[in-house]
Amino acid sequence: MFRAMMIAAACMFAAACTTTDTRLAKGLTTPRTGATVLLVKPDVQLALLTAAGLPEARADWTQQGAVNLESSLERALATSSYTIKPVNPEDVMGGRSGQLMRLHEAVGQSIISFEYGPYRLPARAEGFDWTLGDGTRSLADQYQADYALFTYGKGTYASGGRIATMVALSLVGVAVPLGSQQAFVSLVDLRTGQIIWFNMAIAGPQADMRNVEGADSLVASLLKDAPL
Amino acid sequence: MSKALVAATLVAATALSFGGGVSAQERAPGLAPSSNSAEGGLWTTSERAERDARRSAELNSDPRLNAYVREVTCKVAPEYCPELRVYVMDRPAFNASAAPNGYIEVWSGLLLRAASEAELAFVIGHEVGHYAENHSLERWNTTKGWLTAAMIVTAGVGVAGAYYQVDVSGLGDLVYLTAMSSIFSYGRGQEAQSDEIGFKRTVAAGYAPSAPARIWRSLQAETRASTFPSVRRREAANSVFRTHPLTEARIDALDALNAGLPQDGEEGRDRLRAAIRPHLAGWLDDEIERRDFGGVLLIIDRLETGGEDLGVLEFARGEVYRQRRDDGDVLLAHEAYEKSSAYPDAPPVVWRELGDLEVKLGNPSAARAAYEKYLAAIPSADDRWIVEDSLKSLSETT
Amino acid sequence: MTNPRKSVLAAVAAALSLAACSPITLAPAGAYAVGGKSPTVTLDRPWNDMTALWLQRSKKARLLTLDGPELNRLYLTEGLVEGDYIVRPARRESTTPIYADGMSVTEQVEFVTDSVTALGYERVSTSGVRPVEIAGVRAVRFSLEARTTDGLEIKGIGQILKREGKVYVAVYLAPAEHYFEATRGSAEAAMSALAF
Repeated sequence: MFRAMMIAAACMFAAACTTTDTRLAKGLTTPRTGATVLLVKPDVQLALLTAAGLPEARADWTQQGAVNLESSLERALATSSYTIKPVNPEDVMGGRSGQLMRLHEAVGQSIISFEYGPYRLPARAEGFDWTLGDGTRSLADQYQADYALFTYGKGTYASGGRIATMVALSLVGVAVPLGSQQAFVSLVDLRTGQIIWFNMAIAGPQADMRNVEGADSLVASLLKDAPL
Repeated sequence: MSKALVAATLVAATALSFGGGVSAQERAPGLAPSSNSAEGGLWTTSERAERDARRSAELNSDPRLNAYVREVTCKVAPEYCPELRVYVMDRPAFNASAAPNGYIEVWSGLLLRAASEAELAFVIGHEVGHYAENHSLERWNTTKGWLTAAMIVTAGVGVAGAYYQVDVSGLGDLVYLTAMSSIFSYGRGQEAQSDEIGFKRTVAAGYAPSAPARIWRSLQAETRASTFPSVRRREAANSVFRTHPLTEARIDALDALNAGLPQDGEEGRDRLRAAIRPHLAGWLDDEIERRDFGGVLLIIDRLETGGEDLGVLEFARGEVYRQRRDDGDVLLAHEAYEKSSAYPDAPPVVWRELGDLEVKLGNPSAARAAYEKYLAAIPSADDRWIVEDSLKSLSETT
Repeated sequence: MTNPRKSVLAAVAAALSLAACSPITLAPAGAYAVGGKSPTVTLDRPWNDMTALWLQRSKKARLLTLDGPELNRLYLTEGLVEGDYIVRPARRESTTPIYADGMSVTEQVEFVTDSVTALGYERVSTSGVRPVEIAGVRAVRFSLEARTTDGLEIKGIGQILKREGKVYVAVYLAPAEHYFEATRGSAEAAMSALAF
C-alpha cells in the first residue's frame, strides 16, 4: 500500500532532460584503489505503454535494456581502478544473502520515498544515513568483495497513441502517465552495510537504455558524482 | 459492450496464429515465442510471475503434495507434461492457473474444495485448455483495444475478475495478484471452450465424467452460502468485467457432454485425501481467517462426507463458531469441540478450547477437567501459565 | 541551470503544505498521546507519526516509524471495545479481525495476530506469550514472525493490556535482518511506558 503511493508520488515529475539527484552519505571516504566491487546485475523491466495505458512487457527491450545497462556499467567502471565482479541477483536470492537483497530493496524504497519524494521523515537527522546493517559482511566474505553496486531500471515507453491520451495525476498510486524511464543506483559498503552513495535518474529521450548510446548516457548521468 | 467483446474475441481467435497455424489447432508442445512479439511480452510477464511464485512465502514446499499434483496434471496434459512446472500455493481460495510459458499454480483452496481427484483433474484440465488454446494471447489482443487505464489500476476490478468468483483482495500482495489477473482474464467464449477441453481431457485420463459439472455446482453452492451479501450477489452479476462467470449454461453444457457416457470412471477420493491430509488443519485455519464463515462451514461439511479426519474437521468447525460469535455459536462451538475430542486426530488444543468454553458456559468442574487434559497432553505448552491461571481462579471461586 | 524537477517538486510541496500539512509529523521524545488525552506512551527518542498515510487505519490506532514503514513500524491503539478493529477492512464487506468483550487472553493474541495478517503480512506466527506488568496492570507480550510478500523476513513484538474493560494494543514490526534488533530498544521502551 505504501510503496505504490510513495513511488508514484516520487516519480510524478517526469522531466524533459535526464535529471539526476545524487545523495551522498556524510563522512564519505572514496573506496580505496583496487577495491573489489560486486556488480549486481541490473534488474530491468521495460515495457511499451500502449494507448489504453496498459504496459505491454517487451521481452526484447527488457533483455536489451538489461544487457546494455550492465555493459555500460562495466565499461564505465573498467576505467576506474576497481575490480568488478558481476553477479546475477537470481543466484543470490536464497538464504541470508537473499534477505540482504530484499532488505536492500526495502531500504531503497525508503530512500526513494523520503529522500526524493515530497515527504520527509522529520525525526530523522539531516544528512544521508542509511544502512543494511553489518550482516553485509556475509556477502563480503562470500564474494570476496568490498562494495556492492546495485542498479534497478524500470521504464515504459509511450507508443504514439499514448501520448495523445494523458491520464490525470493522482497522489493515490496511479502509474506514471507518459511513460518514463527511471534508474536507481546504490553503492553499499559491505564491511559496514552503509549505503554510501545513492542516485536516481529519470531518463530523457537521449538516454534510452534500449540502445547502447542511450544506456551509456543514462549510466553516465547515474554515475556522475559517484565516489568511484 | 459485451457483444462487441464477444465479437472481438471471435475475430481475434480466428486471426490468431502462433507460428502460422490456424487457431483451431491446439498448441504444439515445446513452443517458445519470439521475443519482440506480444507473445514474448506475455512470456516475460509470466516468467516474472513464476519467479515470484518460486520465492513466495506462500509456496507449499511439501514434495509429496507437489509430486501428487504434478502427477494429476500430467494425466490430463500428457503431451505437455515435460514442459509444465507445477506450483502448489497455500492460498485460501479456489483457483488454478496455467500461464502461457507453462507454469501452473494450484491453490490450497482448490485442493480443499475438490471432493475427489477427478474434480481436481477437471479444473487443472480446464486450465490446460487455456494454455493449449493460447487464450491469454487472444485475450491480451482484445483487451488492449477497449480497456482503459483506470480499469487496470483499480485493483478491485482486475483482481476480483480473474479468479473463480472469489474475492482475493484480502489475500495481500495485490500487485502480484493484479499482474496475474492481466494474464489470466479470459472471455466467456474461452471459458466455455476450456470447459469442453477440460471435460475431454478428464475423461480421456479415465476419470468419472460426472465430476466436472459437480465441482462447478459445489462452487456455486459455496458462493450462495457466503457470509458476504456481495459474494452471494456475484453469481447473478452479468458484468462484462466478471470473467470466469459460472453460468448455468456452462454447467448444462457439461451435463450434456456427460449424458450417455458410461459412469464408471475413477474418482480417486482417497488418493486426494491422503495427499492433502497433512495440510488440512493449516489450510482450514487460513480459510477461517478470511472470515467467510458460511463458505467455510460448507467446505467442512463436504470434507466430512467420507467420515474421515473428523478430529481435525470438527475442531475446525468449532473454530468457525468460536470466531463467528453469532447467537448460539458458543453452544455450537462446544458441541463441535466435544465431538472432535473423541477422535484420535483431534489437535490437543481442543481441550484448552473446551476449557475456555466451559468457563463461559458456567461449568467450572468441566472446565477444570478439560484444562487438566490439555496440560497433560502438552506439558511444555507456551500458554501453560494462562491455563494454570484459569485453573487457579476456578478453584478460588468454588 | 535550474533543475525543472526540483522546482516543480517545491511548488507541489508548497501546495501540499497549504492544502494539508505534511502527513508525516514529528512525535518528539517524551509523552506521546495515542488518542485524545489517554493513554500516553513515553518515547525515548523522536519518532515519525505517519498515521495519516496509513490507508487502512481505524480511528483508534496510530502508526509510528523511525526509518520508514518498510524498515520499522510501531502500531499503538487507544482503548478498544466490543466491535472495534485495528485494521480497517479494505473493502466494505470483507471483514478484518474484530475485538469482542469476552475474549480470553489466547483470543486476544489471536485478534492481534490476525490483524497483522490483515495488514498484508504472510505466514504470521506467534510464540512466547508471557505476562508483563505495565502501569500496574497485568498485560501480555508475545513474539511475532512473518514475511512480506517479497519474502523479507519480519520479526515483531506484540503487547496487549486490558484495563477497565478496554484493551490497549501495541505491535512493533521490523525486518529480521538488522532492523528488528537495531530499533527494538526504543519500541519496547515505548510499549513499557504506557500510562493512563
